Amino acid sequence: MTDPSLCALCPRLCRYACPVAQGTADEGATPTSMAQAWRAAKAGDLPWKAAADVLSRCTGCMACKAPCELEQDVPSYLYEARAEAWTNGAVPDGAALMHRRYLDSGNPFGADLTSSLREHGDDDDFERKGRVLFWPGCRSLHEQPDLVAGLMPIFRALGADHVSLPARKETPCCGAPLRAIGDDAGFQVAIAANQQYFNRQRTWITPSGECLNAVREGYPSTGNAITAEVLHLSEFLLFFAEQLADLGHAAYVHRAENGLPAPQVVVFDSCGVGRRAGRGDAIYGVLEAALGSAPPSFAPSPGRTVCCGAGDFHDLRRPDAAAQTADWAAAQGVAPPGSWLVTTDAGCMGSLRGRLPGVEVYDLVGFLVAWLGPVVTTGAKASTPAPSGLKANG
Amino acid sequence: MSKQPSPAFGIVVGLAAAFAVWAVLWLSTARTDSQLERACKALIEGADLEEIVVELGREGYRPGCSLESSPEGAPRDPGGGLPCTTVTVGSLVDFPYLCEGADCSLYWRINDVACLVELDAAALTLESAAFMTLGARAAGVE
Repeated sequence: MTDPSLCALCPRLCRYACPVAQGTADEGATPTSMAQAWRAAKAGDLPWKAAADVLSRCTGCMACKAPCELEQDVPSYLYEARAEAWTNGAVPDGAALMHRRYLDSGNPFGADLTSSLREHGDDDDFERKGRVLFWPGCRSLHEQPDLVAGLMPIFRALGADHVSLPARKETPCCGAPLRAIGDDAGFQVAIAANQQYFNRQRTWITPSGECLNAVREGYPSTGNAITAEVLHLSEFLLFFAEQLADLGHAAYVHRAENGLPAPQVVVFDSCGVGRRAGRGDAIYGVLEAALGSAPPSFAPSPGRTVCCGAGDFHDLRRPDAAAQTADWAAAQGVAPPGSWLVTTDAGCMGSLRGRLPGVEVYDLVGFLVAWLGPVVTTGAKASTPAPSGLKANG
Repeated sequence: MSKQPSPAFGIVVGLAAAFAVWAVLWLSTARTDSQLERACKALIEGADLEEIVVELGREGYRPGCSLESSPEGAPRDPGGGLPCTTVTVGSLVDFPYLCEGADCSLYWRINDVACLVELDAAALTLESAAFMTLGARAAGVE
């Protein structure tokens, strides 16, 4: 059970595990400091504005949970703390800016994401053919709408031709950014907009750690559970391991014919999918199927994820601190020049790009398009029939 | 000299009053839950959609779509999704519902129970209905 007073009175035993505290050398980012700020604000000893600033310094990576003897769920109590700060009118500048963009455009980037996806996708991609919805998340729609659309032919080549993109005139967010900044009322409105739509699906899949956790834990925490099967993209693709192996083999042949070497792939285990959602293993199975061998992890030890600094939209709320955290993360593992670093969470792509010399950074969507896309555009399809009897099927 | 009521008597009366309030609240919640469950299961068994929609009305109804004009003071709509389609069904005027192309649905949710009704958009007749206890397995017919 979470009790922030336990963190407030703890002598920062998890300090060394906090990627923000490590990357920014900021003692205020530790769970201890955040819990103390919350308690002080509640007691009237600290203005809520100052407390809100301290409470905003977490990425929700849960790295502090492992060394914590008291098993505190820091992200959950921080959502509650930020919501209390919000109701007291205290919103940090970065969160306020993100919120304003959300109100203007329906996403935290302030961009027209619906048009950008429609420009790249075919009409068929948006047609509802089955009850499997691929929900890219607004970050993917902002950073790589072409690759999101490029994944659809790969689904079809694998035999997963019942997957569709959100067929909406306005592509909304899952509401995760509002949850991250403590706007509970706004999060409820986003849920109201999405709940019926999601419950019409049998399976709901996403490459976004932020949306995965918002729908998996955030919706139920407000009494709005989703009855559709909620999966990370990697979990869904594991159903198609044999088909991935077929296409992966064809991809090797295609690259060899074009004089290209096979890439060396390293996995960046993102916190949002691994530690937070507990679903970080599936990507290894997917990549092993597509590549023929299991890739190594960027993390120094198995199961230990490295926070890229972008969780809970920290990169939009506090860009400078997020950049310092990403620098720290990039120094924690090894990805040789020329290799492909594949992140489990789409949220980490932007944070890691440019920080590892000579390394191509992809999320799972980008990897699949880069690796299998060229062979799929030649008309290749998996020779193994798609599995039947899946809940995922129409 | 009048006799003072005993503290134990006060406690018992207080507890009884609290229990009575709780029971009334519990019964009213249970009634709306069971009404939704009964109506939804009737739909699954082939009851008339219009009658059920009129019976259930707007209590617990969630359109899941974006109403063009929100009443003043209503929560803002940062990403309401598709614009609502509206229909007049019996006494329900301009009843909003969600359509995605030809796929349309109505959704009710009261406490932990929900009913999802899929419609034939052209005929506005029932295609399927599912009664769901949220967080548990959905039960329904296609």
